[in-house]
Amino acid sequence: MTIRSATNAHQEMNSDLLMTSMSFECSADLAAPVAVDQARSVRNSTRRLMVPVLVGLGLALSACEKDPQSTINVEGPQARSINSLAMPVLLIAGAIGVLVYGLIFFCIVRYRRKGVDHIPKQVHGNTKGEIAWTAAPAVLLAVVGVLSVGKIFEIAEAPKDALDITVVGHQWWWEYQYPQPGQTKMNPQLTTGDDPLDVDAAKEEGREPRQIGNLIKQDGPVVSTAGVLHIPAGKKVVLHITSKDVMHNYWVPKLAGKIYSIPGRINKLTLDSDADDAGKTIYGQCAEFCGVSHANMRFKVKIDSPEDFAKWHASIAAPAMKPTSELAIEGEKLFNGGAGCNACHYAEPDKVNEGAKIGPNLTHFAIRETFAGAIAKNDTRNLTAWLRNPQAFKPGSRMVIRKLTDEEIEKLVAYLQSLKA
Amino acid sequence: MAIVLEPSRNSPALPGGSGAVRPKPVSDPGVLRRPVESTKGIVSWLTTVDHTRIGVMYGALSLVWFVIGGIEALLIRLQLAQPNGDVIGADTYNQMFTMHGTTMVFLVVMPLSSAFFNYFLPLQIGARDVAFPRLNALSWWLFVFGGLFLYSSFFLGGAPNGGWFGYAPNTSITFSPGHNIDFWIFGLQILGIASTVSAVNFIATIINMRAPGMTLFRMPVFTWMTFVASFLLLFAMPIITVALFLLMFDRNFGANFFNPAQGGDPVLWQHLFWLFGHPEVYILILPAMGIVSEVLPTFSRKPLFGYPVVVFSGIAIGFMGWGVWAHHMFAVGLGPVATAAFGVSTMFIAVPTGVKIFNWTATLWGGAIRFTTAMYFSVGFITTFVIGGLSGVTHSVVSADTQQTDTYYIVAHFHYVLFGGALMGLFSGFYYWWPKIFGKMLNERLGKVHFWLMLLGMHLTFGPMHIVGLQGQPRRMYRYDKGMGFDFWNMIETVGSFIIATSLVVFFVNILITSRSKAVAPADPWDARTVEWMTDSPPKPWNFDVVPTVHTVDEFWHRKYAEDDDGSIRRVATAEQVLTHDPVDPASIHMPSPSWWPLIAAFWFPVTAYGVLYHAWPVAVLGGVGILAGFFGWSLEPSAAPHDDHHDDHGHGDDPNSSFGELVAGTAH
Repeated sequence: MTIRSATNAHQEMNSDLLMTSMSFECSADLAAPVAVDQARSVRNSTRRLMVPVLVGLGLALSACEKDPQSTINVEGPQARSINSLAMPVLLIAGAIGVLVYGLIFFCIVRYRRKGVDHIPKQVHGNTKGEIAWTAAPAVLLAVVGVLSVGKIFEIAEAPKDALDITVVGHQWWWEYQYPQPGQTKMNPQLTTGDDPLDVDAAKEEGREPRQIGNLIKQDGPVVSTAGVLHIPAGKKVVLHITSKDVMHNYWVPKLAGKIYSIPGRINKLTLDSDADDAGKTIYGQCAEFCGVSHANMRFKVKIDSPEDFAKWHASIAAPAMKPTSELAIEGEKLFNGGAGCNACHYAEPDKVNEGAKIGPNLTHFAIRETFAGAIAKNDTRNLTAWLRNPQAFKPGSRMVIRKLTDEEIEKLVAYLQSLKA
Repeated sequence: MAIVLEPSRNSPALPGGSGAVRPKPVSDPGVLRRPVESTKGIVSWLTTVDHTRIGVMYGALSLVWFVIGGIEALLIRLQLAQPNGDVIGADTYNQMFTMHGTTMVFLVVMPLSSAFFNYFLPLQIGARDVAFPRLNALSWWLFVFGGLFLYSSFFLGGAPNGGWFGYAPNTSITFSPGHNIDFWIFGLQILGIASTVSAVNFIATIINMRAPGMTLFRMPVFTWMTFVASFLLLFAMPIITVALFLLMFDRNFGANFFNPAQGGDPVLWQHLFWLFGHPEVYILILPAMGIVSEVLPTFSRKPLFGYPVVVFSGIAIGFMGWGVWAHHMFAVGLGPVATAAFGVSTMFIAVPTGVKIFNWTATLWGGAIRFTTAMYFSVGFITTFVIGGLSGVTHSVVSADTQQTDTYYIVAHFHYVLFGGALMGLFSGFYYWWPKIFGKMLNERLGKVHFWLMLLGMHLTFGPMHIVGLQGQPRRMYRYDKGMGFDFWNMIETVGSFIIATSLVVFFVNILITSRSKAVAPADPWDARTVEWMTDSPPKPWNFDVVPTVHTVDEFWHRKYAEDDDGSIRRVATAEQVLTHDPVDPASIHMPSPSWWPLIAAFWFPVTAYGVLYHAWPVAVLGGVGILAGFFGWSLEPSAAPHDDHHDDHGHGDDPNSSFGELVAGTAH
């Protein structure tokens, strides 16, 4: 049966996964991998359900006070602005809840039946009372409604003098296109053109490639990266968000509300941070179910000081160096030949201005802190596991790669790690 | 505004009635002959058109689906019990949450409500059956086959895995190339036909078949909520039908309705889905609200406080429910004007909902409350529904919702509304009406154990979801990392879910014990108030020997008690005295004969669906021909079994069971 085989497949996969470090520790430090604990089997997990509640309570209180995706304990001005309305509403709702509970409990304690023949006075209604408890909530809600509408328009207001960044959702990773260093404006448009997925097939069959209508057209050259969004502290950033495939949802809980990434549409989201947030790493997650590895479509937002941001921006825009070590040079040959990576990835130094081909643009891969939907730290061990079996690493991953030998993997990893300015 | 029927319409026909003499039907070909009415044997269940038997079957099968949907929920909770859990894996997890949602909505809460509609709607309005008994049987069989079809996907390549909301383009052929989504599309289409047909049937029944004197504003509130929910169904199901057809064409015939690459728009799917999906929420909750509105007055020994207000607030919810769908889409980027409008409309739907809560509480106020299990569940309904309602108001603040949507905060909200709300209300109905349906009392002590376990499990499972939701745990993720602050509460949720499962075991044990027990329930175990209790338990196939003439909402109560002008009360008759009447010859009451055709017609729907799904066109054509043949047989079938003595006694016109529909279609039985 299907469930069974899927479970088996997953277990198999997981044994691979466990050799990689998949999670980041609670601290905001990206570079702190945590080894995933020992393998779990179905039996095992069931047994562990019985872990005593008290132990859990103790752990919960001590384990992580930071709640890296909290919508209550937030960092950015916009998230705070949302909470300035959301929290009072939550409290009012709670107060009304307590009031209603009080009434109900009063009734069920006070008006228990006393004896079989106890028949109360037959009250059919009370017009004044009913008008009152219709009108009172309506008035209260009207007040909340006015405040809510005000907040909607406040947040929707387009900021002046912001840095534009284009965000493209892919199954299951985020691509970021920045303007050239020194520039701040972008105006991405959707346009009709050759379907990149059909170009090769069309060439083989000697026909025109299929035309599609959701290609992203930029005004000028861009700088493409993936996984971690860098933003300058204290400066407003406008994200122009779209999707290459299915619907995703871009969400950085500590900075702003979420917005869908929709193929064929471009949504805008303003992110901002405080000047003293520099150095913080904020967690993000795709929030709309987008297929098998939806849970693995994560990202990080790195808030840099303006100087650090400028430095980073320049480094990803500069042409990458050619590999120097022998191993890496071998890897480059494999990348562009035997392993066929270049069918989907750009990595050549001169491709720094291209968006994603099909997979992420890898020109400055070694600069990135994470890869594979930001679920893994970018290190040798994880890369090796990834190249051995991407689908085991990230279920359903679109990456197609033939079975590689350990030697080949070593070469490719060396090449990938050489990719920086 | 009330539609008062002529009293003669539903009064029992006298033997040898007066109607116009009709020619005796010539002997029909055997294949079209109707089976003779019988109450024993498998054939009697397969061919029944009796609303009580159909109601019982609806209830029983819904409980089976409830167990299956519950097992799916437990698998989800096992997978999420710990960070980076690995109990079922990514793809199976996606199938589980898709099927859990789809099952609980379409195969559990809707048909459970339908079970109560079927059984109690005719009884509450003093009718002998529904307006279209054979259509009723068709709804039932489509529900059976639709559910089986949907679940056959598990054995044919994998269950649907695109979520119960099926957002395009993830559900397109490009991104979901297997047949998983096709099973979902066709399964919902079949179940949708069942629901639409039921809705027509219940509306026609309520409009046309009320007992003499029962004006619309003398109908019990459960009947009223059935009425409103049926209208919502009637208008909501066509929308999802259209959406599913478009998706079917995208997937199977190369259309591009939702394909942005070719100029389609996936946001269109969301509008269509939620334009159905939000009224659907009220379809799920209104019947439970109706049940609670019956139970609270009975056990408080007071009339429902502000009956007209409760009814009108139900109607208001029914109307306003059509103007709030985009609150499921606040993060889609509809722009500030649209989100502001839908945010405000969503806030104001809280007003009629709040009115109901206050009126229920006022019903308790000053009452003489008897705490039976049914009452426990109804009070449990109010207390959990209040939490779900209030968290709903917090979503209506659009900017806050952009943080909350697609997180566990939402999962908490709608489980408080649909589990703590709808299902608790339905369980209240089980305990309240069990003696009516089976003539035996469910064990009250076990019932209370069931209640407390379920309430505890419910709060443990769904309460912490508010917290992890606000801590930023998104929905529909098969795993989460350590160190996110989710671990502890997820474990608590899993423990809670197993407590809920235990409570259901208690419920099923209770059913088992009750079914073995010989003790017979009293005629009026709860000192009830409404018309459905003015007959035997279980009722005879014709429901009432003498159809009562109704003077007030709480007709039964007012026959037992006299109310003075100052609201004081004295007993004037026992329930037994009220139920006693002059003997009536059962042969004078003509009930519709059983029929094979609903079963036959319904059988071909999944066949057609398999044909289209696998592009096996001969099979699809065969199925289509089968459906047509089924309905032809249905239309040509005589209106009664061959040995039915009363067949030629009455013309259709004054047949006690004749209905509006029959007058129109001529084939109602």
